[in-house]
Amino acid sequence: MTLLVALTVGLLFAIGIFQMLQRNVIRSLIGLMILANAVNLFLLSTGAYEGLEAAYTTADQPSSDPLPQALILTAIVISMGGTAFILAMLIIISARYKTADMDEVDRLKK
Amino acid sequence: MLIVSLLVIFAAALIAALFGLPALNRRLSITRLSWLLAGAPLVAFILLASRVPQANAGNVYTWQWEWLPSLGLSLGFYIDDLSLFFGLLITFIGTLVVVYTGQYFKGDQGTWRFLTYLLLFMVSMLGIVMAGDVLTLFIFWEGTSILSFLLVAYKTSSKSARSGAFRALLITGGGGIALLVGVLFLSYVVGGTDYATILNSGDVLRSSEFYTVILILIALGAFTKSAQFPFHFWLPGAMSAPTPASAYLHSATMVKAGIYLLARLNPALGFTESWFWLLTITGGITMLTGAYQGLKQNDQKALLAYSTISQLGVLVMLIGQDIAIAYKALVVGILAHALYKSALFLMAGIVDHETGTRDMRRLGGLAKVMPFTFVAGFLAALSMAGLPPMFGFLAKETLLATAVHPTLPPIAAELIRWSAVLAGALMLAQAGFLIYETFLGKPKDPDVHGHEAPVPMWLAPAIPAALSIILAIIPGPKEEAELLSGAAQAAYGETVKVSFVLFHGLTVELLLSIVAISLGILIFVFRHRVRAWQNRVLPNLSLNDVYRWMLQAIDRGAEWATRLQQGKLRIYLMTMIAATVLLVAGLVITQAPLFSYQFSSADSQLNSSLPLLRLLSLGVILGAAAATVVLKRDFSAILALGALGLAVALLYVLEPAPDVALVQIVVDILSLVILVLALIRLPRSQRRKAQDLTSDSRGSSRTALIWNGIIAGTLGLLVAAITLFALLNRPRESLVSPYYANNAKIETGATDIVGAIVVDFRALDTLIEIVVFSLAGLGIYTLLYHAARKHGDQTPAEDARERQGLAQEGLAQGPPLPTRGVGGARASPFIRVTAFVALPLSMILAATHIMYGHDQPGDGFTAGVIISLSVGLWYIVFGYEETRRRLPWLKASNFIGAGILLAVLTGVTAAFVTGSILGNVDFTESWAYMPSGFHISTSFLIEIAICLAVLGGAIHMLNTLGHPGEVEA
Amino acid sequence: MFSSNVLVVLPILIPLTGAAVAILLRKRRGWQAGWTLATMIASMVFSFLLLAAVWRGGEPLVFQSGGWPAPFGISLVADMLSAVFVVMTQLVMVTGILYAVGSKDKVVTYPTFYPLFLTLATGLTGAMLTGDLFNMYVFAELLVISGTILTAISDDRFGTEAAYKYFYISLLASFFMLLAIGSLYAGYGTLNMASLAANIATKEVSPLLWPAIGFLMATFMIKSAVFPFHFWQPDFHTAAPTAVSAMLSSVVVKLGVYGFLRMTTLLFVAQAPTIRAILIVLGIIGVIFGGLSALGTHNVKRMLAYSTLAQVGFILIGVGWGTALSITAAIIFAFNHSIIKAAMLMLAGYVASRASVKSAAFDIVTGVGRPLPAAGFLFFLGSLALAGIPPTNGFVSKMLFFDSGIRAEGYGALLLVGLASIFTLMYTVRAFQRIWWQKPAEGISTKGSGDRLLAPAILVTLIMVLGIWAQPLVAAAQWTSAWLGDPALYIQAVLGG
Repeated sequence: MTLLVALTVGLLFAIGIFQMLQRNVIRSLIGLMILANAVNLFLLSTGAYEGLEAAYTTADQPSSDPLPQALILTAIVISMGGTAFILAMLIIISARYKTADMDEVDRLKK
Repeated sequence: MLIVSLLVIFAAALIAALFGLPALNRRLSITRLSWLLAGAPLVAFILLASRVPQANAGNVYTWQWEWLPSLGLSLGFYIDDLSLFFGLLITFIGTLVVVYTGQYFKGDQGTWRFLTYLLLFMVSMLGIVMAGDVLTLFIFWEGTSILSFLLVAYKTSSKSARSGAFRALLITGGGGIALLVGVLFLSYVVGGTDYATILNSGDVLRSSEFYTVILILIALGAFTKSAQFPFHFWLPGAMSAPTPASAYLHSATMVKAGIYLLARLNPALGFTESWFWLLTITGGITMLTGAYQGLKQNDQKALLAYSTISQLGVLVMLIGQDIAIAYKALVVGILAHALYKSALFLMAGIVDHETGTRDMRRLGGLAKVMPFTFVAGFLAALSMAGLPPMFGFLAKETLLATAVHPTLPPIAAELIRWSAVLAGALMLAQAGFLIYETFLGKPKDPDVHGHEAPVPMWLAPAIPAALSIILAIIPGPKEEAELLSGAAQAAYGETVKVSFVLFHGLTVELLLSIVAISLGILIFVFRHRVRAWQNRVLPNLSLNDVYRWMLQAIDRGAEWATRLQQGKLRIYLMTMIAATVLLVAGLVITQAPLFSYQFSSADSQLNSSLPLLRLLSLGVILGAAAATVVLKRDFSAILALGALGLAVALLYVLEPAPDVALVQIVVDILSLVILVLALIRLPRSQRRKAQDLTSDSRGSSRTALIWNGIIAGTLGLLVAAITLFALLNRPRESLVSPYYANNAKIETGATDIVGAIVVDFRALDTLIEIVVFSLAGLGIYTLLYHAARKHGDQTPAEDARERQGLAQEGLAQGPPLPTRGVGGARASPFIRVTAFVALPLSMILAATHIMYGHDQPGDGFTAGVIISLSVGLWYIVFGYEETRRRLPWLKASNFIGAGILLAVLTGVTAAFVTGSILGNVDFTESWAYMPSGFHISTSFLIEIAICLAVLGGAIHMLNTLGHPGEVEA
Repeated sequence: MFSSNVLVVLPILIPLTGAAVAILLRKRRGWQAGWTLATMIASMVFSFLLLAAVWRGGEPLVFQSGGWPAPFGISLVADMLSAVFVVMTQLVMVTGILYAVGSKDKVVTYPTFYPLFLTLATGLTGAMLTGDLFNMYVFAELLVISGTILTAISDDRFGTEAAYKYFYISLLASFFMLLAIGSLYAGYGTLNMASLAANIATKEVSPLLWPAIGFLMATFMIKSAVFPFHFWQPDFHTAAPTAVSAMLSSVVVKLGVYGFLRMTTLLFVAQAPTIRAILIVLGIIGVIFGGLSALGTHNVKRMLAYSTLAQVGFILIGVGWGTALSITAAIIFAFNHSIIKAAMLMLAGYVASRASVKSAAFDIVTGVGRPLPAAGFLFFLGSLALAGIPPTNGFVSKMLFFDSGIRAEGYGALLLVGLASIFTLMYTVRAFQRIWWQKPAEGISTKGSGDRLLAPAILVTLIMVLGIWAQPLVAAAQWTSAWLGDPALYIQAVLGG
């Protein structure tokens, strides 16, 4: 099972990269969001303990490691903001460059 | 006291600069100004001269300033006979040149610039010879390079002037870098930068392993500066400088800086085989090249430039020798050359000034109209020719004497001797050529008319010209001889006797001089044939082509380098990811034998906790991820992404991490909404094109695709590996988490540890994270509203055809088109009521989140998002106008500002209570009647702040992404 | 009532608060600008006080945010390195705002420009002051988003493209950094840099250590645009509004340098030799490649951006040699370069703003400088400084760099870099000749008015002052590198005991 989780995270990461490298700007953005999820899952797996219960002071069984969760919360919010702003930039780019193909967004050269 | 000589000239430079101000400029004619300014170098000259007796007595003036005491670096001066000898030349000729400038540029009030540069140059030049350590020397050294650049390019609009200046700067500057490294090496070896130390550690240097390196680097510096082969070619190019500058920089002073450096360091670096050969060969070649090229020239200044090069070669050669007489020749030669060459340049300047040309094919017969200039030039030329009784004769003769000195291998001796003879002959020939073609014979060009220059102008060349004979015939004051011998001694390291006796009887040297002279006369007589021959045999021996070729090579390299920046983001990303993979993999493989670790628990209890659900979520995650790749339509892909997000949330639940799961869900929804909102804004045509790229072969060549796969795969593998390691050694010790578990309740009154971390233990993270989120909102608003307006970007959202397209794409029930409610129609009462209810409900929900976030999942962030979502619902139902009308208090930016401000203020207030910013304070501990589980604590306030900021950010996002040109109230 | 360690948080808190207020002031442009400037100046004053306090105190100042003991809360730590870099940052930032105030750009009239500028300062300062790796990530994100927005809304039509690319690449960097952070937490169970350093030094090496190092290096290379992680930089620094690009290409790129210094002298002392070796190689490539590109490009702002590539290369080599003197040199180099590059970019922007067609492309600005001697004078001095010619501060940097190289026996690097540093002279002088000496192209003239010259003038004055009166900076840098030589100092200050 451990192995499966690890492989999933890895595979998710790979797919994310693959998508990010696509020419279709939307797919590429989707790739970024997948990557964000993959990274968060990785962070989750860096938790120190096996959680049988949520990290509450009331917990009587061994609870999961709260720190990575806090980190993930922060990471989620930040990447959400980032995604939103990328979308805004995509709108402008499509208006200025008349394209949704990343390879045609190449005016800045040399 | 001697430093005043520097300061006074510097002051003069400043005065000259002040005349850039029109107010002052009008007051004084440039000629008068130059008379005034000439006082400065004159004063300096007198100051230096007054020092001569003491210097002759052998006491050296030194002065030091602790520049960087903590590094033991100081700047300072060291003034002995050698310094004075050069210093006197610099100031003396400087005085003449300044006066001459005033005449040369008569009536051109813009000349203040030239005078400023000239005087600043004088300061740097004087600084070089007065410097007390290699660092100070280098500083002034670079100064001369820069100012020579400015002076050469004085006529900035002329291309040749610019390129000549650029070339000069490039070569001397390059030499400068070599010199810098050289002197640093030197001081590293001897353990000090000052001359006292350096000159005392000659043996250390010569025996050091770095000797050759130091030698080469410093020689590079000196050779580039003193126009030695193969760097000499910048000097003729520098002749596009106004003549006064050429006379001063490129004959009398700057090009002597390299000579000075070599002479100064000779006692420490010299007297080795490598030194001897390096200097003798370089100097010899330079001497011949210069002499040979000089005869070919038609431009007076070019001829003079090449003869200068040749003379510099002679001087370098002399420093290479290790016998006393060479240094006598050195000082005499420097003096002689400085005098006659400056005189000749100034003469050329006069000719140019009065007739308007320097081309000797057009001049001729000017002796009658310009008698004084002629006489001055003639005397100087005699000296240049090295004819007795002129001063130059002494120089040549001593050189020949050096050449016959028996310490050399015989062949070398012969070579040197005869090349000296040949050079001497050529020198004589071109001296004659210069004078004859200019002043004697018939006028060649009828429309070239000359007339005598004003007295101060022809006086400038006349004085040094006269001196070069007077000094030779009339024995001067004994200080003079002492100064010269003192200088020679400083360069040689031991006593050198300098006398001006012209005839030592019938010596070999005399015979050789006679040979040289007669040969020279011969060449002069047959000059035209010789020149014709020259142009036939070796039409162009210049190194300019090599230089140009190198520049082109560099430019080609530059072209190549910039071509890497080819604008395709995907290529950039690929490169970086590949590089990272290489880096990480390389480090891991070389540094860490990965698979030799023991793990705390072979396999963990992951299995125990609901394996099936876990499997399910994993499956969904992968499935959805794969779907985003394979699905053709972007919308479907986005929906798949949404599914993925929910599955991830499920995984969080299983961890168990309920707070994360909750936030994951709301964020998932919010992102879906804005994704779709934004997608509507992309014209359908564009999306179609992009989609097709996605569907068929992903729009990129198979190989590129494979590369994507490989890169992505390897990185994925890496991540999988580290994840596995992370999971495998669970449970392990976390240094921090236990503390949180133990203190959450006590310190922050929170049951929810994660919540406690977010708003208390790591509140700073949260604060900044929220700023980031709300900034994104602000940014979107600014970009899509203000920036888009400025650039007139058309973001086609209200386009009717768009809507149809969406309908066809099955999005009729999807998110709304802006400005109106669903489908542009007025929504049915039922929906409207729902919407009406939804907003207050969401607010209550949010409130509970904020109040009890400490004891259960949920926090200010969730609250903010929830409210914004219900506002989003309003946008859908009522459209933008009505929503804005009904919710006038909804001012996103204000929310953001207020939120952040509230958070910060809360933190600071806490500081006043707990003494630490962002500390935790419960303001209502003592209040009995608070509802259980709820306290008005800093955490509570921060939650509110977060909620406000997030709400503002989210509103901006929905608002501006959904609705173009959304004006914010 | 507050101990001096509150000084640590003020350079972060003041601009942040300022940003919040500036957002609320958005309707009153004049007030907003004035307020922003005032805030930034106040913040700078406090960062100077901070430096003074740290210097005199003789040990790092630590502020435990929320009063939670390290390593449980987030510690803000000001040792000499942080303090010096923060002073550098805020000094330049003040001039940046000053330039913005006097700038004719449309972008400065947008209501969010000044708040974003302040958050940019906050992010950079915070990233340099924080003693917590994850917190550094958060601050870095703040920096990134502010910079991205500021560039995306630039008057330059291509600003959005540049921002888009930069943001993508920065997100990649963030992912790498998170991977590193996660690995380190999994390996050593803490995020506090001091306690990380202590544990990495003492505990057995975790299998996740080297991956973490690798990903962290990649992150910082992207942050300070090291070849081949530089692709975003020339676009981004060219398309940004002048006032902003002057910040990006001067102080913002120094974040990576800061990171590498922390990595090699605090976090991974035992592993430092490997890291340093890599840095030297990349530095050399950077110097050569950057110099060549700067020669090859067609736009003066772009030229300066490429030159940053080369200059950062120098700094990395200094970090890579790793001797006390070479680190001193690197710090001085970084500080001086920030001032020089900011001044140069502002002057480039100034010229562009005076061109009849607003652009910094050479074929536009050629000859535009002819009626602008003052700017020419400043630019010339700046060029000298960039090329390391006395009596500018650039000379101090270059001299110390070469000297430390000789003493560190990095002869190979010296040779290559020495040769490559001629490029600097070439491109700066070429640019100067083109803009101020050549005749303008057809139809290009010089406008009567443009941006204000005050900010670059101040910076150039600083260039000269720091060139002649270099002792204070040198002493600070020496003191800094002395502290870096002893990580225990930092660790003890944070963890206590």
